[in-house]
Amino acid sequence: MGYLLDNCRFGRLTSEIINQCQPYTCSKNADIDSFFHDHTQDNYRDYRLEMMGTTHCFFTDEKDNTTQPKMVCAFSLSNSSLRTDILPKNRRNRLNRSIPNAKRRFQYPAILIGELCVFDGFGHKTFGYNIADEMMNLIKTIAIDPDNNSSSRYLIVDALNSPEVIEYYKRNGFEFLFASDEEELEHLRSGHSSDMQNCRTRLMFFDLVVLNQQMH
Amino acid sequence: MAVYVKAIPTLRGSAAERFVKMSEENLRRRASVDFSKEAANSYAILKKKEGNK
Repeated sequence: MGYLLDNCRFGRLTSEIINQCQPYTCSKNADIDSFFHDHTQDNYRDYRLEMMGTTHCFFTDEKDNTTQPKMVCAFSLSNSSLRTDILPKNRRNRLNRSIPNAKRRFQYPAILIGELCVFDGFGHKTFGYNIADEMMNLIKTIAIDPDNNSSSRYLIVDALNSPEVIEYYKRNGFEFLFASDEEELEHLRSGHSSDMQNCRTRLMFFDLVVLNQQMH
Repeated sequence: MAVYVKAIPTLRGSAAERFVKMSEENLRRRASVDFSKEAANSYAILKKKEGNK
């Protein structure tokens, strides 16, 4: 049905999997490339050991056992939240009233997509399939799975601020958390007193409530 | 060792109002997106996840 389902194996990224795969790269971004490898600074293992996030990967299922698998794509997920602390009181109440059974709080559970990558050689469309969209659908499914022991309302991502990346998240239903680069910079500056001059990334979110979960 | 997890800034002012408005609108169209085909594909992937065998 999908390229990842039909042609790949899926699991947590480990040294064992990396060692059995052919060398792989994400030439579009050095930080992302570094994250998904061993023996690099601040990589997926550090992330996991410090319980900051879990990293999953897809690699080709080479049934003949003579060809080394190819790493196709990977992503990491962490628990996070969205806060709306200083809303005017009437708006705050309206939001909280519309979340059934919720205690009146201004912090909403979310899942942060920490890193996400389709590796070189597996482009936007591979053999007619859109690998990146299939991966995002998997992330959404993980988030809404009724068998989860905890719930999240939103997916959040800090997307690279490039037309191709932004278009990908928009196509998958994500919205900007801030209306403009300027508004986002203003919020980030006020929180971190940083000297940021431009938005290298944009925060985006997906509201999981719109998905029909009747299928499971 | 610093592993960087993006700090999500607290939404205030117009950004917060915009977010609330979108969230309210999404609640009104709860479960309106048919995700069954995509979910079926994803659950099939999860079923054959390494370590689940």
